[in-house]
Amino acid sequence: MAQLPPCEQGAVQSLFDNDLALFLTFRAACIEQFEHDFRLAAALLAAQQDRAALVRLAHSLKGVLHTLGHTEIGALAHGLQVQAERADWAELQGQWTALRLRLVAAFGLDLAA
Amino acid sequence: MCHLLQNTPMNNTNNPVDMSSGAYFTTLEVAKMLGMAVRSVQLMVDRGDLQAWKTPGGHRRITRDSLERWIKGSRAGVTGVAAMHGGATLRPSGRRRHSVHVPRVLLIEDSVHFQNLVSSLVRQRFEGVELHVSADAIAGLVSFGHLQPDLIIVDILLPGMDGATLIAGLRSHALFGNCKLIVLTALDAAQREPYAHALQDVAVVHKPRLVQDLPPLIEAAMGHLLDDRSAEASPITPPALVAGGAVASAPAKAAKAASKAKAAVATEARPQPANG
Repeated sequence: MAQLPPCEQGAVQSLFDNDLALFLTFRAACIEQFEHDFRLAAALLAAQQDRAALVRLAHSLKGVLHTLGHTEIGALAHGLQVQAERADWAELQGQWTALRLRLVAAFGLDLAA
Repeated sequence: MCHLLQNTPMNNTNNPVDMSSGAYFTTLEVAKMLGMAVRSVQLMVDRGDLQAWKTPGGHRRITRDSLERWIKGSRAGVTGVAAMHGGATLRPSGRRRHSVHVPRVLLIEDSVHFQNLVSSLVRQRFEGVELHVSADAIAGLVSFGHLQPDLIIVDILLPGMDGATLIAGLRSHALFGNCKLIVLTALDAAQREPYAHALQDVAVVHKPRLVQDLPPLIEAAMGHLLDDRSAEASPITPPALVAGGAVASAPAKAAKAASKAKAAVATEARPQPANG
């Protein structure tokens, strides 16, 4: 527990009823899934066609990040979700890059995507 | 023991996609999805209401796109159609019947993250429950017709169909019967406003509070089935074998779930799941 950042410790206590095992199981599954999310985002941004899919991806990440206690990064995901409906693709690429970097840093990801 | 059946993982690009999430459906699948007779679906195809092609053996294969367009365009909703054309023949209870009833939950959720979390929770806390997962609205409707679950847990924002339309369709589906409904969402109260009508009298769980709020609602919706099963179950219960899905088991914490069911339901969730 002490190895978790404070925001995640808070989530264990306030959102997971102190069920650390369940939290860690969920966190590990999320890290595995982030790799697929990164690939999907890269594909969507490259194709520049399916805004709805990008909205859903950002929406999913927002919910996940809030559940894991990372509300600040979750706000970035929410921003991307809102902007994905209308902003130009270059701007969305920038927002995604910022979100991705925060995810990599927060979860110690080592992803090529 | 909890049986987890992953039907259509969506944004996990490594997972295979089954026919339910493919580009085409059989007439039987569409009939079950819409709560209609197979013949009615065949007539819809012949009238041009649904687009389809035929296999060399003469079987219709209905396009997913045309089905989505038809559902979206149906002001009567999914069930109004069943009423118009005559729904599937039901048992008096409107429910499937087994010698030993296996409590069955259908999760319709496109986020693999939350598929994982709900699966973990159910596996951990609800012994004997069979969990099926569909990753979009259309696949969910297909699975609903096939499975006739006791409880549906559905996300609002889904690919393939507006969540409000899906919920309204499910609740008035000819096969809905006594099935319970719980909605999951990451939307806050203000963002849910466009869905207010569909969410009326429905238990809603805000996703960040899922671990706290969902188990008591599942317990409230299915507790009687779990109790019945405990009473009927033999000391050694073999795992269910269901085609097309993985079967997993895990230590049960039914007692924990029962105690949590008595806990106060948080502000995001209403106390009772809605009946159809």
